[in-house]
Amino acid sequence: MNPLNFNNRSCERSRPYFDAYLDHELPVETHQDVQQHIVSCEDCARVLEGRDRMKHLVRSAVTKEEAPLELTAALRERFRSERPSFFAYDTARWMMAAAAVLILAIAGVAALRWDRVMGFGADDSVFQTVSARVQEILRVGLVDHLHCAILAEKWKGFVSFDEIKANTRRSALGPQFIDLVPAVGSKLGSDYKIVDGHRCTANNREYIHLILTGNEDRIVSLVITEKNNESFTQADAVAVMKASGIPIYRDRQGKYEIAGFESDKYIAYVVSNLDRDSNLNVASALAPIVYRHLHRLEV
Amino acid sequence: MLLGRKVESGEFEAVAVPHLNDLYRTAVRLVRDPTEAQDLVQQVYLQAWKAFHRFEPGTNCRAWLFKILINEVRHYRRRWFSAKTVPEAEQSFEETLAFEPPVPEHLQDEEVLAALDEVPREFREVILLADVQEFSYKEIAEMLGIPVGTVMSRLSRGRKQLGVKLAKYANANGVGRKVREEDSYESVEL
Repeated sequence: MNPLNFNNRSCERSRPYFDAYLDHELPVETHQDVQQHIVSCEDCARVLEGRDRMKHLVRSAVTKEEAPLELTAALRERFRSERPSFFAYDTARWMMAAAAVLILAIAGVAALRWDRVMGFGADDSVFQTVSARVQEILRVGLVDHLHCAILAEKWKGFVSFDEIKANTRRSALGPQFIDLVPAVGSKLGSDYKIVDGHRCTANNREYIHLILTGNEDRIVSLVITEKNNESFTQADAVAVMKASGIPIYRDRQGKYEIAGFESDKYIAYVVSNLDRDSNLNVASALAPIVYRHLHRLEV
Repeated sequence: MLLGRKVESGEFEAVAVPHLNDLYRTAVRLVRDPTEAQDLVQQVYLQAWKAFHRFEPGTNCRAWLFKILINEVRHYRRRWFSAKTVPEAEQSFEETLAFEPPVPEHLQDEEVLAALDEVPREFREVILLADVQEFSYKEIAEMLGIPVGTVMSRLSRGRKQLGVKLAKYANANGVGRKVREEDSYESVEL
């Protein structure tokens, strides 16, 4: 360290700000002041470089530690076996919830009676129960929809096809899947707009993900992932419909409607905030082109 | 929202599980015990799961989970060390040094972690949250329940202590010599 420089007023004035400068926490003017000083002071530039290196050393050493697999497994087991405590709500909320349940029950019975009077509800699949295994397979698609489209709010953005095509990062769809974007776009016409197309990872699983939006905040995801020992047919699932001979399975989880279909190696999902029939309409429109695309990749 | 949100386990998993590694890493470095860290992280997820109906989608789930972790670590310390309050660490020998030793370029991860573990916990906490998890000072202040100015001073003091400890590890293990050997090896390869 050069003692002359250390006694320089400018060094003394700048150094207390070095940490905040590195962390981009300074107001613009102060940031510029520090920057100007560093350009003209080798000693301070060296100190700053050292602190930056220290940050990287610590980050690199700490992030090499991975959570043990048994911890991940134990947590997943707990999520499935435990439900949030009902008593987490206070009494007033409990009373409100009870009242809401009662109203919904009355409304539900009334709706069922009305359906019978009007001749609706003949479709047995409405009352069909979906096994836990099938729910689990369908949830694989829901996870990615929630991860990217809803929670990361990608549905609010817009990435053009040219930008999707020009992407060369890890999130690129790549030559295997890029052709799906125009194919899906032309199949759904003007009702939906593709606002994003990318490759992503959620819960340690890789997905191909197209996000579409329509009027009235309709958000639809086409999600494709490689099978990981999952199969609707092996789970003895009952298809609710067939599109060009391709069986389509469905479930509703919370406010999300999920339709799924499979090829030999992949499962594809249409997940949305639409009602059951609208979501199935989208799935049945897309199933033939997506299935053909996946089949081509498999052979 | 009066009734909170309807909680979906799939939604919770999708939002919370991606942060598992980050929470575990931080917990290990804070309590310096992998088994305790696993228990703490399980406790964090249990607390988060119970309170998830109050979590607003779109808000920062990661910061929320880390705030729970910090509280769990405090409970853990109170349970095992009967530390009622943690006084601000006294000025250490490292902080009294008028110069900053150069930060070595080549150190083994184990040496970096050992040096980090020697930094007092309240400083280590902010280093982990700022340098590893890259939270903003404001987020860290909210998590720890302290003013932003205190975050800044803890970070500055913690980094200074860490810098001196890293230099000591480097000197003890002749890192300067190692650097030169590696440089020459690289030039042979080229």
